[in-house]
Amino acid sequence: MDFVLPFEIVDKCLGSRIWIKAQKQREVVGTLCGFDADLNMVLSDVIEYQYKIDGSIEKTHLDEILLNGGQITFLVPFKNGPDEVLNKQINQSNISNDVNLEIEKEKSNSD
Amino acid sequence: MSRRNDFKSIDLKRYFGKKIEIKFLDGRQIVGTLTGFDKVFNIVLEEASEYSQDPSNFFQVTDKLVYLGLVVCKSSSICVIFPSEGTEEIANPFEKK
Amino acid sequence: MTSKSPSDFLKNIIGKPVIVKLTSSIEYKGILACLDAYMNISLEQAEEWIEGQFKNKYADIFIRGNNVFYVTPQKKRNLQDL
Repeated sequence: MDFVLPFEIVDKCLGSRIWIKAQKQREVVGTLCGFDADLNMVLSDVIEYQYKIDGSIEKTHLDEILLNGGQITFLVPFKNGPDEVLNKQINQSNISNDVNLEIEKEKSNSD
Repeated sequence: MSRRNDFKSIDLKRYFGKKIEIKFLDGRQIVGTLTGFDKVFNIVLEEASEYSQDPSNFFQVTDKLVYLGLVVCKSSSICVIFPSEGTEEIANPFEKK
Repeated sequence: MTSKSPSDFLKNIIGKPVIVKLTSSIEYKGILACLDAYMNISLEQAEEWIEGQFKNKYADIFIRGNNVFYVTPQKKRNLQDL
């Protein structure tokens, strides 16, 4: 495993989608156009997610924003936000079910 | 002066390639394999997962993990770093019965 | 892919109508007069919007940078809408 620098990864993410988890239950997904040493970020084609205390999610679409780096908790590069992760998990659970089914089939065949 | 530089309160190199957990100032908590950091302790984790938060109280994390993959943590929002293996939760010894 | 640094972005939007969203979800819509490296912002002809509702109007307003969540240019209105 190679040692990597955090800013190296952010730099590689230029032009790709990035998922930012910010303070106060906010999440921002956008295409990274630029950033500086404080991780202030210019993002385009942005969706902002605000998780409310009642469990609802407020989604806002924005063309281009400058995000304050001081509000960022952590970044998930090359990811298209919570929707992608949830879909993937559903797919994965389907796949594992299929695999299990196949194994069961094989077992029943061998029996 | 040199002595001050020799002294390191956090030796993150020890945990390189090992599983660590990070708690953030806003109550989020993630676990992943340490693959990089810089001098101000911005941290890179691979194969990282986030503990999903209780929607009624965001400072309470649940056992449910959400897989994220590669994650870059911002130093200024990190609260606690600890190795994931070799620690376990104990009952509160100060709680009155 | 040409990178567009935050300072380039700011140069482009100075003097233009912007929306500033704070961490407390309050939005200020106005003309960006000036700002600095801390993201301290001063707006002219600013409108205060709280949860989508118009609350107040200020000729001049100063916002301390640590409260800012993001800055975005206001969408250009079509001539037909005016």
